[in-house]
Amino acid sequence: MFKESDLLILNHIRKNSRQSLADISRKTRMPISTIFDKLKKLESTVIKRHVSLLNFSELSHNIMVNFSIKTKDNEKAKVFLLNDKNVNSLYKVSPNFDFYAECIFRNMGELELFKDELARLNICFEDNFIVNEVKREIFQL
Amino acid sequence: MNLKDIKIITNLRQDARMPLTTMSKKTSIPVSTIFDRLKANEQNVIVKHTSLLDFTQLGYFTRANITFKVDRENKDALKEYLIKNQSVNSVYKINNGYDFMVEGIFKQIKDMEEFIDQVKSRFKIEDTKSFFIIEDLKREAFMADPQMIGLV
Repeated sequence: MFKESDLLILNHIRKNSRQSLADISRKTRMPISTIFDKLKKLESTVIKRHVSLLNFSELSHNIMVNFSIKTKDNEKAKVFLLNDKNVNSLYKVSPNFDFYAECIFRNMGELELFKDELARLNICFEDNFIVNEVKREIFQL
Repeated sequence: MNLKDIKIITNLRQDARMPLTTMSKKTSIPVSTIFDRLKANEQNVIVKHTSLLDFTQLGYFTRANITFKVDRENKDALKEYLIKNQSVNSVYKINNGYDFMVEGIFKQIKDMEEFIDQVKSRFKIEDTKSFFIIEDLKREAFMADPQMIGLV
């Protein structure tokens, strides 16, 4: 079970995971040693990973497309999607579809190649283009 | 963006809390250079350093992607409402006949249904679609592997 102090630390880390323990201590009025211990415990339980979120268009990857995927061969599709370099995130979903993939492409040519590969593997999909990321990872506990 | 920036970014994608000294040993880039490049990249390519959570361990057992098609006049108002809503984790503007896609985090399915009902009661929603996220198979993997530096 997590205490209020754990949730407070999580909220601060979610806002900026590169914050120093000293900064978090100032904001939460918890001792640094307590924050250190709690963070270690949280990293082995509820925190999956600390990650920097990117503006992909600044990396010349201007096309973001999300695919809702339905397939008869789940294993083959899963292996392809897990290993494909253009797939940023992949989820198992329900109902109506088997997987949901967030994909990043440099250009329309790369996107079309990806779609061709999905077709070759007999993977059915619906796609939608992300016009703009309004907000990401803002959920607060 | 040069190779040093890409090395720094891929290491941050693996672990955003990586100390600069550790990153320096891994990349053979001096700490001072990493510091400067990080500060520069935080102005453009890096949107945010955050932590990905297992929400089920925190009592939130329902995660869903919900898409909304809204009347044109209500678009901005709906966007503002979604950004401020406490159940919303991420919001995207999309274009396949729907306007917004939302990742919502809920304690149970009933809460998700209440969220959708509230949105429908406040705004002129023309259509909505949703599905549940059962399992994360891969999260934020793009540019998270320093071995794949040739990608960019």
